[in-house]
Amino acid sequence: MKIITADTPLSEVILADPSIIPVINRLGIALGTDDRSVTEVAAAHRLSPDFLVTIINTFASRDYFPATALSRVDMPTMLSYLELTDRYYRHFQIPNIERHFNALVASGPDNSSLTLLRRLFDKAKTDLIALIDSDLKSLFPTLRALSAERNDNDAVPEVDTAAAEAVEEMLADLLSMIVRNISGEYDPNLCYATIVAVAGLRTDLSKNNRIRNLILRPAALELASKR
Amino acid sequence: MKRPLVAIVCSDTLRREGMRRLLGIISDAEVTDASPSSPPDAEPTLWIADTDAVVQHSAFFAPRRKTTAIITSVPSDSFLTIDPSAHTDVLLEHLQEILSSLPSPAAEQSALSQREIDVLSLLARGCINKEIADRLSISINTVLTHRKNITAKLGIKSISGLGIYAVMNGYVSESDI
Repeated sequence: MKIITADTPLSEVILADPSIIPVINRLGIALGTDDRSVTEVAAAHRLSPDFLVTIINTFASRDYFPATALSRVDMPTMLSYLELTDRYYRHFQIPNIERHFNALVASGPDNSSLTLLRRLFDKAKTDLIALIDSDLKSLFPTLRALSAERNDNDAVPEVDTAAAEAVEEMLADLLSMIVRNISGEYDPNLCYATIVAVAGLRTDLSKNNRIRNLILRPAALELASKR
Repeated sequence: MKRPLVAIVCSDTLRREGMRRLLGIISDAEVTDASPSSPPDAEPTLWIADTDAVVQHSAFFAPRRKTTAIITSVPSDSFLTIDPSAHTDVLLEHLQEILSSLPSPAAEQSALSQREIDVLSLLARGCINKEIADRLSISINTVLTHRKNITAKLGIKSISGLGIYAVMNGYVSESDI
């Protein structure tokens, strides 16, 4: 997809790539955007237009990662976005996959391959929830306080990228195994829906991990160097 | 099936990125920038090079002429060529012909060897590399080689994924993982 600008109608972006919907949803933007531009939608939701354009470009293009533009986003804004993303994973994307997986497993009650694949998802989910807990309870609040210079006591925490990448790897394995190794009886439509849901989270995590690796981690290191 | 590897040796960014985009339209090939002085670990299925690179590294490209396409509008008896001035559709069709005509990589043996199954079973049970090496009386480097081959054959990287695969295929029981 072409790189979007602040004047691009948001509806055009969504129609070209509906996978952007979870990203705008987590920012509180619902569908029904009419022909309003990204700038207009951002203003209506009290978001920085530059930030919204940058985040949409991060997700809309497979090959383009706007590292320079993202690195210009201030730490509180970036942390708010990452918090919203974690909460969206926990409250929407993970339960959505579970709903689809439950229906898929129920469609083949005697199919052990389905329960084993579900077990792999459960492992990925457990690890992702642990990472989200750590982000929301410890990492993000500490970084927020340090960047606002409200905290001179705590050391700048290490931004863990390995755990996030391990979850992404597990989801990639899960997708590969559903496609290559599933056997026995199951509902193919429910299987397709499960694949789409898992692939959506995996793609989202992949972009999010790049933000953690290339933006948040260097920003935290810069905070540390100033202390 | 293993994805073909295409190495592009071209100093011109626009040509390099243009070629990358065209290859992305017609093929799932892994495309990488390379140079004869720092070639990829695995021999590419196809080299795409500009004229300057082929002239400058003639000794390197001569034995690879059957798998090297030069970006030039001048036909060559020795090398494959890609005419950069051709229409997009013509270029795509020609690239497709080139990729189809190349010798296919050795058929990948996707079945695990008995030794790989042994390593996979121990990995699934939670053994670390050192334990696997000790139990099978092989070196840690050999364990790592087996792990690399298992991942390449199965397309599964995580220990959790390998464990589930081992159960699905009866190499270990569900209670083992």
